[in-house]
Amino acid sequence: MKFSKAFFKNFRLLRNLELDFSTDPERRLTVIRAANESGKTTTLMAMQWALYGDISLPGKGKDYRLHPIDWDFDNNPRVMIEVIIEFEHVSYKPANNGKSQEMTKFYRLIRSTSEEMKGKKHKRLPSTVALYELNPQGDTPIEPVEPILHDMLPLELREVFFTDGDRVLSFIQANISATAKRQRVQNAIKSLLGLNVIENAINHINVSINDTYKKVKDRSHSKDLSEVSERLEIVTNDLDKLEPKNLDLIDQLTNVELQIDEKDNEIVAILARGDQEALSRELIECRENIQKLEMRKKELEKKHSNLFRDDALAYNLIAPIINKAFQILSTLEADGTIPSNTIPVLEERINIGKCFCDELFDDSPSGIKRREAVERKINLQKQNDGLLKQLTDLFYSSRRILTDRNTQNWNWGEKYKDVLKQRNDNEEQLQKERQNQNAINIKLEQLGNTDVRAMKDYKRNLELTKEKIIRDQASVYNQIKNLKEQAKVLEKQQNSLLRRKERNYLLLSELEVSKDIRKILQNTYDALINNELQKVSTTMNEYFLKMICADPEQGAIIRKSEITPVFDIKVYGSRNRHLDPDRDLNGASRRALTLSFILALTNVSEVIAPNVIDTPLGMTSGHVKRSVLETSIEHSSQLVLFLTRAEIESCQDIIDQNAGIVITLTNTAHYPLMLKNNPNNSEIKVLRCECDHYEHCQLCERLGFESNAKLAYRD
Amino acid sequence: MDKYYNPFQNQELRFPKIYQEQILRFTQTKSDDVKGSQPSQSPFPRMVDLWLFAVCIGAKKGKRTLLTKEETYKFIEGAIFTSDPWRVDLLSLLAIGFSENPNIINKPREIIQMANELAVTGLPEVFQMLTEGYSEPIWNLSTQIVEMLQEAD
Repeated sequence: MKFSKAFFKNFRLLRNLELDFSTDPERRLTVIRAANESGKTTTLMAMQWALYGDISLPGKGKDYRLHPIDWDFDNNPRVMIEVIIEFEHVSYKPANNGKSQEMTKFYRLIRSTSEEMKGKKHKRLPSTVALYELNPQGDTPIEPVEPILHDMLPLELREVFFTDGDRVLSFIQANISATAKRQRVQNAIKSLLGLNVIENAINHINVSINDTYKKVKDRSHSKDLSEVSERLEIVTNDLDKLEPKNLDLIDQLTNVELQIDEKDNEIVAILARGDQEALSRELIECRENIQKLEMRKKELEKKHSNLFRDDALAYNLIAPIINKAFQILSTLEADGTIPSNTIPVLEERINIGKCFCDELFDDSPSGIKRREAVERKINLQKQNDGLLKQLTDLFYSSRRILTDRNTQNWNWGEKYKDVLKQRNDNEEQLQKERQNQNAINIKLEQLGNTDVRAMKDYKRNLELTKEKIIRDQASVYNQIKNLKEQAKVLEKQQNSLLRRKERNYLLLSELEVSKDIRKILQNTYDALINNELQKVSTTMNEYFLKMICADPEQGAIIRKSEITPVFDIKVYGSRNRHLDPDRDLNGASRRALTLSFILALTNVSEVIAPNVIDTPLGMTSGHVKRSVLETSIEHSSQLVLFLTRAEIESCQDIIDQNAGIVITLTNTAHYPLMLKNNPNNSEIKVLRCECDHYEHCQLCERLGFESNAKLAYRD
Repeated sequence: MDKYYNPFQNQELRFPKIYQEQILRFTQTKSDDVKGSQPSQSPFPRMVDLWLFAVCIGAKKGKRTLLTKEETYKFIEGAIFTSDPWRVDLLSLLAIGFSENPNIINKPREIIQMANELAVTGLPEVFQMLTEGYSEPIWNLSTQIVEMLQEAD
């Protein structure tokens, strides 16, 4: 089978999307470039749903929404959901010369359903599926659809041909139980062999054996034989019920473990983006800081403004004039005009009656003249007293000022510098807090309504479910073990009792033959599995070593990989030392190992079908990345890869040589946080553009991607 | 001087009428509906601060500009100096230094007259300092003052 086109209508983010796939055998690769949350996983899921129906959805489709999350049910109460896949399929028919002739036929598969809202829950009708063979004369409906499809692409191989690059790591991850891992590997290998024919045959034989036990019981004339046969019948009936139950529980365990792992990854991713409670607290703190800084900004502005009324500024501006005034006052001080002490001294002299020069202030004409002169001076001094007092005070205060002039307090320039620095520092802090606030708001927006606590509770419930399943499975397994032992004992007793009576020989022979056939079938079954297991193991090892050999570090440590007879995927270092994939392998090697397993299954199965892989190159880089890509292309009949820009980096030349089609998908909801340009689309959906790995355009240009500069702009 | 002594108590501080709008623009104390009351746009807290700054600039230029009473308006009385006594000393020293006559301090009316005339001289340069440059007035003024003081040094 090779996909040629796919159409998606209202399947979650895929509202109206058409994809093309390269069918050119020389250019087997189709690259769909898409960032995270741009519909990669949804596309994978949609294609599987088209092929297999609800069983391929998470939780087998129960309560799983298919309609777009922003669907307007008020105006459109029912949403039609449809996926169409066009594909070609090669089959063979005998040619006239006795050889086989290849026939390529073209098909269109249409699966559709509809959903409505009932209260807060959606209700989905069972899907309808139709298959048409495309002919130039017209399209011919093909029936029955599902058996034909599953012949072309078996349901059991679903996860082999539609691979989630992250999920597939669960084949080797440590946090999945060993039982679950083995079961998954075993199921994958069993499915590729189509061993259900033999399994069915074994089941038929078991039914036949049980019937024979019944006959023995019914026809027996011996009470003992009758009792033993009855007990044996009950034991085998119980075994028939318990064995499928056991397989189902193992299946359930695998699914729950995968769900726990997925939930864990979701929680880690969200916590990496931020815990909503913690972020909200951070935001409040940030706002308070901004408020304080804004207040401080106003205070500092005021402080700056007050510098223009500072005395230091005025004195500095007119310093020469002030100096001159001080000199004048100093002169007055020097010549004794200030401070003014004359009046008390003169009055004292008059009272004494004698001047400084020893002349007397007596009643003689000269004495009177002298006294009058001094009294005139006193009166004159009294008149000037107010002025002199002012001058004296001014002299002393200006002397203080001029003494202080050389201190820091008088340096207006330094005061201004200090205020300037405080204002700048405050502004810088304010900018930082505002940026911090924006960043927190963006993180909160990205979190949306994600409730981390609810997710953790959900995960806890899953873990409780897992514990219960493990308990139940252990109990069922024990019961099976007991029943098998009982059956063995009872069979021995029965055989022994049967042999006593000749007439029971026929029944005994019937039983013996049935058991022998069952043994042959079981041995064949086991041999086939082990045979194919060996083939898958060898092929997986070949691909794996090829992929990692380019990494000198890992290539030096790893010597071999294999699938053991008990279906464990193991890796070995030198001297056959067992390596732990989680500890001893880097991310790239783990990815290479699981992809090697998938590709090995694909090849050993000889089923010609596409490999559709979501983010196969995550955690890989450099030579290993290139090697993984090249090996995958080489060993796939049609390879469809969903790649992020980071995955494409350093692999452009490989894509140039091998890709028949390269397109880009963009999620409109990524604007404005991740997309540069507004897609002008009110609906949340994935849009396609024809940009290849060297281009971007108005639609798909992204923010913050370092390689944007290397991409050409496509109009 | 006695810190409570204000010889200019009843004297009128005056501004030229032609500059009234600009004076309002660059001072903070005015009604809310007038623009530019933020310090960044109106660096001077009060009109008397702008007046004294203009006096100092006029004194630096060494020139008095006489206007008639009709050409000027009283914006406040000298009683304002009671809250900043250092301004009384400053004006007194300025008067002595500018006139070279110590007896002038006995003539407060003459001192304020001189100061008003120096302010008239200084105001155009003050407005230029506020508006010259690509920044807000507070930053233009600050830069100009720093340069002026550096030149004086």
